[in-house]
Amino acid sequence: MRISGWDVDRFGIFQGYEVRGIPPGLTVFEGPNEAGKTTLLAFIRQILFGFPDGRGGERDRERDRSYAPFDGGAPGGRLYVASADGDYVVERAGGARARAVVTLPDGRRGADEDLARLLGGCDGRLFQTVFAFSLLELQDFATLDADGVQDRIFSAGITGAGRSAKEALGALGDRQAELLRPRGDARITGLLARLDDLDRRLAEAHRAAGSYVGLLADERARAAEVQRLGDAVEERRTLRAHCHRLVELWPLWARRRATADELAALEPVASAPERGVARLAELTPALDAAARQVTAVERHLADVAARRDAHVPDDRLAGAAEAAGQLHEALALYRERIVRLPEVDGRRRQALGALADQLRDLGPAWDRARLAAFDRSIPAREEVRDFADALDAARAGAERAATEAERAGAERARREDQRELRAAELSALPAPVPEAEEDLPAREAALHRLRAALAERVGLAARIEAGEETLRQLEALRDEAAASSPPPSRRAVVVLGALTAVLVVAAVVAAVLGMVGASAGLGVAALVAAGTTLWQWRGGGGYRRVADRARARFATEHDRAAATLESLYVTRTQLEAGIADDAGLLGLVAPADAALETLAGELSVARAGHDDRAGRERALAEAEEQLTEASAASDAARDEVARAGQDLAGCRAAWTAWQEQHGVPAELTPRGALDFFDTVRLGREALRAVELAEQELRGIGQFVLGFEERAGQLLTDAGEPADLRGLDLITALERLRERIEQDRTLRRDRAELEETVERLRREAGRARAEHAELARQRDALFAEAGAADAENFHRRLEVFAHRRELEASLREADRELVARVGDGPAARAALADLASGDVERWQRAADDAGRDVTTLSDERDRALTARRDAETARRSVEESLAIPELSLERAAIVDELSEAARRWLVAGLAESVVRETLARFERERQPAVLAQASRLFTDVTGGRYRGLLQREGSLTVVDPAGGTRRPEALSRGTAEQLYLCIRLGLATEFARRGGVLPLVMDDVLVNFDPERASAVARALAGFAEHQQVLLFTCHPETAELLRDAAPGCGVYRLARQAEPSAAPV
Amino acid sequence: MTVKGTVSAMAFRFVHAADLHLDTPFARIGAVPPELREAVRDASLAAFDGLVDLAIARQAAFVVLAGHSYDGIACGLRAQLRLRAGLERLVAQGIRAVIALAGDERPSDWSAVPGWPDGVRVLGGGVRSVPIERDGERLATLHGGSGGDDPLQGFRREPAGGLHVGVLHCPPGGRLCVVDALAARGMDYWALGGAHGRRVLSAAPWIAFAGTPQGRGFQEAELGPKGALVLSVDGRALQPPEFVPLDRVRLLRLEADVSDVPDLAALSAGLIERAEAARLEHRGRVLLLRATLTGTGPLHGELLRPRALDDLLRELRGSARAAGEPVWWDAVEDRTRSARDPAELARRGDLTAELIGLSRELAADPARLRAMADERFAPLRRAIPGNAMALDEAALAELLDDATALAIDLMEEMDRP
Repeated sequence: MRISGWDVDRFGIFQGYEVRGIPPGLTVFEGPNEAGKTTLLAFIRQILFGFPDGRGGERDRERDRSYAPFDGGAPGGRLYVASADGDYVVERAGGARARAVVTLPDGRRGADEDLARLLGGCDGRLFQTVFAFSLLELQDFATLDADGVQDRIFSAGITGAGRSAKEALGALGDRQAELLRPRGDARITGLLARLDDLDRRLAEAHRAAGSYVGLLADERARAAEVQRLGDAVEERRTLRAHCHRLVELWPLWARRRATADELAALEPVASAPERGVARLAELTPALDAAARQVTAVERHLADVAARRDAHVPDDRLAGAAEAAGQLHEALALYRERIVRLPEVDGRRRQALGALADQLRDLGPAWDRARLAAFDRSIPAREEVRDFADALDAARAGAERAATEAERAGAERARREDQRELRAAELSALPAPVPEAEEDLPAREAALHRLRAALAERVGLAARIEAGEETLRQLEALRDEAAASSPPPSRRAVVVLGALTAVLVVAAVVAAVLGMVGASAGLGVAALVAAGTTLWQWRGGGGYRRVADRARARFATEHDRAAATLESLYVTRTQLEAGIADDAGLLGLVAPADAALETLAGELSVARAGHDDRAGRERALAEAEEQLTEASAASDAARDEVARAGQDLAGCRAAWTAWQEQHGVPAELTPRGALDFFDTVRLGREALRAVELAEQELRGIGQFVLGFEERAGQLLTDAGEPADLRGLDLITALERLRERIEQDRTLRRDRAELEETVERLRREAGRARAEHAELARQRDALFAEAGAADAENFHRRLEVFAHRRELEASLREADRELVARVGDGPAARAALADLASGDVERWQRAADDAGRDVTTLSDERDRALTARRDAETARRSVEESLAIPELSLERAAIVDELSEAARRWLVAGLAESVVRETLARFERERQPAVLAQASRLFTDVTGGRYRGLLQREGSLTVVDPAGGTRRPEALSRGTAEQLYLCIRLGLATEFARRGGVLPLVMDDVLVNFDPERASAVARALAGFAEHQQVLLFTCHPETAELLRDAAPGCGVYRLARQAEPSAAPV
Repeated sequence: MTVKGTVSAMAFRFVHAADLHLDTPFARIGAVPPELREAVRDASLAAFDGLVDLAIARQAAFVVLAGHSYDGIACGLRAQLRLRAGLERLVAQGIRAVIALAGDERPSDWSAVPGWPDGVRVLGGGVRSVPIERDGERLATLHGGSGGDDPLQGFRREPAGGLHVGVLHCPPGGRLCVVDALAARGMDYWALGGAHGRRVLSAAPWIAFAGTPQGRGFQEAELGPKGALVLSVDGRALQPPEFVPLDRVRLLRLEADVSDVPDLAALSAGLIERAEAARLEHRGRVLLLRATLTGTGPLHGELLRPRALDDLLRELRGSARAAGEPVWWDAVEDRTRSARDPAELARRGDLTAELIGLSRELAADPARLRAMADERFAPLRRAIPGNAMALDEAALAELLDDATALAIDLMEEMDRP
């Protein structure tokens, strides 16, 4: 790639500074101090690789300081770059984070990768170190030691902004040493030591686990020995206990045998009554008391039976008792009835007299039966009242209908009179002319339009005249602006001032005439012209652009004014056509004001006559409509009179029919019928009083007669006189009642005595039975004991009791033997041994067994201890957590060791790769770079030095005698020539591997003597045949040298303080 | 699916487990804190206890263990004794158990177990069949064993009714683990062992690896929930295997892409948040977590800083401990890479480009890479004798990749402000 130009928007002292067409090969930019050469070098670097962020070191800040625009704002601009595949634009603007915008040859926007590819992968650090550097940066190498120079050249310089390969190797070595070192502590070494310790402990744990089977077998053997000894001890213990038991049981056994002998000698009494003596002692006094009880009860019974036989009752009185009670209850009522009978009969006779009086009032045809049958119920009375109301309503309706019919007839007559009056008024008006009436509205409208059109025609003519004037002025301004393209001059200022004045006047005229658009346009044009005039007057630049903008503005406004004027012409034509049409309709040859006023007067008179006739016609129609309504109302009233008369006749006929149906006298009106109903009610009340008295009299008679019949029958049954009435009857009944009460008392006493007799009979039976039972029990007791009398009974009982005592002693001895010896064969054997009675032998055997138990128990205890030890050992292995614990710990260490080992392997392999890369890089690249640099350095120094060598990692120069010299031993100028030659070598090598990049240098030849400077110029010219070289210098002689070395090279002169004068020479 | 032949109308269940590896230590994990040490140490035994509880709770008819229940005396005696105790519990509940030995297992490995409880059969050597009956009716026939040139030939479906289950330890990819060959043996269910990850190879017939009941490392197959399979036979139908987790310690690997993470604090906060989410998801278990950082970005340079990973790990562990939860961060692995495009670096023509080119040459020439590694790794091999440092071709290539990235990072001064 090469740089073909740049356009600086803002960068340091530069603003809007553009250079294009920089050729390939060598180009010199010559300018004095403060012309911006260093700024342009920084501009190229920062546009390509970004603006600095201020985070670099001191040296970086010096090299790549921020070039803020002098007038503020953010730096920015673009580089024009030519490449094999076309022209690129690299643009960047903003702050430190601003990204480059790359425009590809086809105009599309590219990505970061496109810029990287364009730069051949070169980064900012490499570009600054090798391709774009100032004198200061060239001299930087001089401050470094030899290794640093080499590092910059062959490592850092090549790798860009990375850590040097040697530093990387150092870091990798540190990493490995931290993990593993042949001698001394390191992480892996420590882990291995811990792992060895763990493995040793784990092996021990495994050995312990491996012994488990043996421990298990040993424990089992120990347990078997314990069991055997335990069995032997138990056997001896059993024998000793057996002998001891025989000795202990011997007294018991002897006692049992004596008891058995005594029992065998006693009289055999198999059984005896339970509680025999006590039971006999209880039976004897009870038997005596029962005999005394039988005698006393039989004596009492005879006494009570005699008293019962002395009570004799009357059976006739017992039969009459119920009837006598009933009559006695009704006796008070009988007494009251016989007293009230005469009073009721008198009341009946008085009611019969009142009834006779009411029947006379009703008429001869009325008797008790008709009176009782007459319907005077409430519904009947309501019907009569309905008839009365209906007749009253029908009569009132007929009267109202007659009155309304009379009023409606009078209203119709009045409306007929009004209609006649309106018809007479209309017929009195003159007859209308039909044609004039029809044309009147059209003529009035035409007159209105004609007046408006004539007024608009006057205003339109004025707007057209003003528009034509504006158009003429705009044409003049446009032409004037077109003719003022040359550079501004005093005459131009005058012309622009005049134009401004004209535009202001035109804008005011347009505004006055209502041409808002044109006025605004002219106003803007006036402002532009005024600004342009002022700028020209102040000597500023940009006249050409303002004049162009003014020309464009005038042309636009001219076209807009012409269009507006054309529109006004069309409006005027349409208006004239309308005026002609309306004048023809009104019959006017020329629409003068006088003719128009005369015509307006005529149309006004015609309009008034037309409106008066229309009003009278509307009044006549209204009167006829009112007459029609009054006639209809009169006819309706007459129909209502007829209907009311029919209703009244109907009501009367219905009342007559009801009278006949209900037996009401025909001469009565409904109101009279209601009065008749009251008379009938009084008769009915008298009849009711007669009926009540007769009914009461019949009831009293029936009761008295019945009572006397029943009382006579009762007295007869009781043996008393029977034909009695009134008070005598009452006295006889009360006396009979007293006799019945006395008989009832006698009967009660006899019944009580009878019950006592029965009870005493039952008591006597029970006493006799009890005595017999006691005697039977005593005999049974004797029989149970096998005795015939009480004495024998007592002797047998004593024998039986003694036998029982001996038997109990025997059983007790047997129970104790069983309890102490047990059951089963051993017990039986022990009893058999007891039967032998060899007590001394038993004692000797017990002593021998006791000694054996002691000996064997000691042996067993020792075996138990051994078994417990074996069990403990076995459990210890079983429950040991050593293996899982150690295994877990070992796994963690192995993991840690694996990770550490892996990190060591990675670092080690990385070191190998870096070392081999570096070796290859130095092997393959340094020769080419050194060869190129060596040739250049020999040429530049005129053979003073024969070349460069790389020996044992150090850079040396070779003098003609074959001696070597370190770079720091060279003079300043020679050292700079060396570093420049090395850069040219590196750039050549980069072009071979990465890509061709331009070389940009700022006054790097100033410290060279003329001879060396000429040689360097030739070297640069030769280099520029393959790669672009841009060289900034403030020394004309340097520019001259380069021009001499490369006659066809490009030269640009830069003015101080960025005057826009950079141009090819 | 419907099982073949005449099957009991009885419904029953059985449990399929494998690869118990009782008391075999965890592999490739770092040290755990004291409060979690016992749980990690006893995890495989606790998982087996859970297996026994599961069989009893589900009233299983039998339990099958498909190989690698115990890795020999090197793993101690606890495993043998715990296994026998668990089997005694099963037998006491009327649950039969069949242990099929893997090809590399021997009955003599169980030195501490003089005899198995009644109702337990250990199948090794040739293939044998074990009938499982209930109330005089054949529920199932279990076929299991190992050894011989072609052990599969020993698996033959008998005329007897009931379910036929093949129990076999055959690692995936091995010569025995061929679905068609297994399916051809006529079994209704293949209870396989040999894969620590649970997987179902076929549904007709069912062929399944139960996986290990307790993961023991951060290899892929050891991660996540581990347990056993419960199989239900309902009439003629064998229901799909039901997985029941049994692990007491669960290992999870959390991968975090740092490309969009602004700084280490945000990375730490994100990992802590993910650990909390994992704890909630896997509640009731001890969690061992390992973070793998991937992606590119500015954080790569931060992580290259000495002790950056150690500081991050310490912060993560401190957060978990402060929360009082049974969560332990085992390690943080840095797999991040520089944001620089290797292709772009390779085009630069500088030393870095040269290094990338060399790395590519080595990757393409394993013998040359091996020679370079052998020379470079000699000091480490001397320090760690044996085959511990043996590296296969893939591992060596991975090392080269990491070494290249490290070298580039150092040379590009990623960590220098």
